[in-house]
Amino acid sequence: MTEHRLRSRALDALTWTIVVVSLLPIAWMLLSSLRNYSDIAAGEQLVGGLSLRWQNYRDIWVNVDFFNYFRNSLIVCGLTTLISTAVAACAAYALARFRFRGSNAFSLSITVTQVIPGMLFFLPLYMLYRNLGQSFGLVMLDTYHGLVFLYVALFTPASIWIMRGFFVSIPRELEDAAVMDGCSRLGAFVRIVLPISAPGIIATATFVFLLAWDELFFAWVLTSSADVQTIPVGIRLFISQFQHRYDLMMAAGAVSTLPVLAAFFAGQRYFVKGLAAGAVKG
Amino acid sequence: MSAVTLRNIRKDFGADARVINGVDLSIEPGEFVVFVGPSGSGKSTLLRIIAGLESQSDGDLYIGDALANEVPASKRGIAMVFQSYALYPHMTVYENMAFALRMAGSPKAEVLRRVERSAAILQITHLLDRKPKTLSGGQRQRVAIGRAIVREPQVFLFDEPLSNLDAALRQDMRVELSKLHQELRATMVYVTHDQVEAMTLADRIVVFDGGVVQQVGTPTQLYESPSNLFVAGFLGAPKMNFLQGTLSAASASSAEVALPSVGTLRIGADARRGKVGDAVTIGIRPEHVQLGAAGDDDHAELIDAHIDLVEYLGDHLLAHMSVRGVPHALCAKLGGPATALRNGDDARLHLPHAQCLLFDANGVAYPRIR
Amino acid sequence: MTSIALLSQQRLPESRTVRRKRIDAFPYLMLLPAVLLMAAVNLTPILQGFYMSLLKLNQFTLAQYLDAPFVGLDNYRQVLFDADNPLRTGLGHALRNTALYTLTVSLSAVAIGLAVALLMNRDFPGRNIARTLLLLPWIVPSYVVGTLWGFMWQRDVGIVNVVLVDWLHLLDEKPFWLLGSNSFWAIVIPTVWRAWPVMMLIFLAALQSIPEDQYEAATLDGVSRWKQFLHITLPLLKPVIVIQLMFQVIDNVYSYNIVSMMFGNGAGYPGEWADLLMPLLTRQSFSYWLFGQGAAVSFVMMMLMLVFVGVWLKAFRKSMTGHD
Repeated sequence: MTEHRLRSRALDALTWTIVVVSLLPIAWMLLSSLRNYSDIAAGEQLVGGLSLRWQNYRDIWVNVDFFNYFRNSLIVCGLTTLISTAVAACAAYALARFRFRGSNAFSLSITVTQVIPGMLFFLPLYMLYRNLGQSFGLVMLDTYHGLVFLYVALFTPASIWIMRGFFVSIPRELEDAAVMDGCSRLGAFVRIVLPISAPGIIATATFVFLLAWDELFFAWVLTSSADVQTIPVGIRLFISQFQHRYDLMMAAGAVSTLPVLAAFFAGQRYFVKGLAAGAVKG
Repeated sequence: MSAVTLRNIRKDFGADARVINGVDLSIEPGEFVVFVGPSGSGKSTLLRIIAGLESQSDGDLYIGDALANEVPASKRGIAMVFQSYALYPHMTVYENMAFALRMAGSPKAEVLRRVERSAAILQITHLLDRKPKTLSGGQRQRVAIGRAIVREPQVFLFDEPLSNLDAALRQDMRVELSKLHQELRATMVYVTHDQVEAMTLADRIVVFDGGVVQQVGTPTQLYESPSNLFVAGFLGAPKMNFLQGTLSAASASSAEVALPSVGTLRIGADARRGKVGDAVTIGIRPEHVQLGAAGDDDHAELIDAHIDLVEYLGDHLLAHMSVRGVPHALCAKLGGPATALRNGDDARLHLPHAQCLLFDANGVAYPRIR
Repeated sequence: MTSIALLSQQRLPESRTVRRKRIDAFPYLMLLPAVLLMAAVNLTPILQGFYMSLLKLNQFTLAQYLDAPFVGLDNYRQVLFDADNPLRTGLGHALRNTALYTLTVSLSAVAIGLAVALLMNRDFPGRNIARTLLLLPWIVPSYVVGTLWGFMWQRDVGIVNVVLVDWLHLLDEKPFWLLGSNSFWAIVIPTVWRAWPVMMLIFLAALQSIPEDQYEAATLDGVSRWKQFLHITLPLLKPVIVIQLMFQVIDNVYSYNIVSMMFGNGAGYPGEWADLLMPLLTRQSFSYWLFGQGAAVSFVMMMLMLVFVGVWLKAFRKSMTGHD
């Protein structure tokens, strides 16, 4: 029995070692964000004592347009998450429950969209947006709604894929019972299926938020003013402007991570169970 | 006026899967009708058609005397109890039971009254605030039934409601369902594959196989006068014994059947439509097989049998025997002094001609003459 | 039969409805928003993108957009064969790098994810916390990862060299990580670091869905743990592994953010060993206004990936539907 216990202890140690090693870069990011710039440049590592320079954080908000970027990212990613989840839920339900002409074709096209490089269609999209603005007065470039519209389209297919797995796992009898109780099919979807699959939906929503927050390329192409530009664009501009201010860069990185971190912790109960289960089934 | 009428119902799933092949049935108000049959026989599909969850490919459905083909499920005056109860997991028991009424827009007071009344009938009043996942199987079953009762429907539909319960609970619930039926005096249509449930609960049984109604009748009718081999073999446990033979004499009141290596049996049946030489099957239930003594009054031969296995069940035993000339084992249910029998014994069998049934080469029964 | 006799005594209204198949609009309506979005954003632009690849689109003709001169397959030819073409320069390296990068990262992420999932598949105190913590590298946005590791890989002030040289004395000199062949590892390692946690999560869920009694039966039969892994675990995990590998390949072929933030815009160009396909294309297209050619290469890549997915799914379809 002691051999078993020794083994357990060894595995525990191994596991926690992996955890610690895995987190080291993040710890380093946080630490560096609080360091004095001159210490970093001089190559001093931990020698400078633990004089935490919270000033850095204030600097990025003040000297750089970081507040704007942050706000824009929140708005764009938040809206994207809400709309994309709603659209995907409806589509996923249709795919999960109904056999109809074109359902296979649609499933296939979802897979295909994942294979498309942004490089291929960014210019047509840019042109479309520009034309909408010039010819129809519907300004899409450099706007929240322009970016959100694109993001929703980008991330809905993956959401559909995941949510379909959840809906399939709900017993059909529940919806039958609801129909017999007087619900329309839409009513059964909204009142019965959605509440039951709430964990899965939250998991998917968290996932979409993470994906949207991570998006760099199109944000760069489709926006041009600090009123709309998101964090990744901001950091990119920032790097070219402040090439060696690693302390500020790390601070910006840390702050950029916070919202997704918060979203993750908020949804993580559902996320860890839900997403994996959906992925395994899907 | 009947509660439910089915006229020539057919149901196809896709081009070649005909699940229900022409069903005509009339269910009387207040009747407890059981649809019984093996898996895939179409009985559950038919139930769902009555409920309105599926629509038939052909034929008509009447509820009361109104044509109900196009009427949506919730407006048919029907409530259904599902096999897995289908309780809404995110609602309390009260909300589950109140759901349909709320959907219909009933006033709160009315909803409260009806839910409390149903809960009282099923003795689940103390569970009203709980969520389904905290309940036991039997409790969930009652809630499912309660949910149906609340709607005060004309017809109750049950889709194999007891199959998820363990054996002891199943027996208790059977009794409760019977009592419930007497108390509510409602029309109930009940689907099961368990012939014991069918026999004990039904006023009338409808036996299904292959999408076709095999026979409709009271339990007694079906048990004593099955109209074909399938019904004969399906009801009753252990299963009826079948012996193959040829018709050696046929008249309006009796038939003689030659069993190879065994002898000739005389059976009370209207065999006019048979010809000498036709292949026939004799059926006799295990409880009617007797250990014979010589000198019986109906000239029946005694049959030599070798006992392969004896299953002892306390008040009776099942003897599985082989008889020369008969390909499969015969089963006899014996009690009393016969309980001294052991494996490997030899015995002599007597098949009383009044208890034998006769079936033709297609499995259709010759009418029984007592 | 008694029931039929009863039937004929009743007078019931005749059925007037014709049996016809009603087309159910509900699923189509539910699908509609998604379909519209995808048509507007994916379908039309892709078709236009393909058409773009057949046009001469440079800084002069860009304004004409789809009315620019039609050059047919000339873009493709130029990129593939024309030695002076700026897009072509570096394309060979980028393709090689991308292939190696994809292979290395995909296999590593799946392997490490699987290994750690096996490790995590037991009950120990703090397991849920450990699982959450392990997931953190994935939460960090990819552009932050690029920036962070760009900092960490710095020759003089980066922590990696400090640890390797100053603290652990594993190396004598501080190497350049962002130049030369080292730069390949400079991009592989952060990508793997960020990718394997999700793999672990998915594999862990799959592992936990395998019923215990399969292992118990094997143990009773005297089968060793390793053999149990090979003959019980792996076959059951095969569908999941296959799918995840496929997604990994697609993600990594199109990888952009990490390289772009680590090297782009003033921190130096990726150089020979760290330049990946998408960063190269983006950079050169924008720098030289070669949008038609950029679209051509993208289109070819998309076709290649479609073929890959098709072949991959077909090859593994048996193993995926065989297990339920």
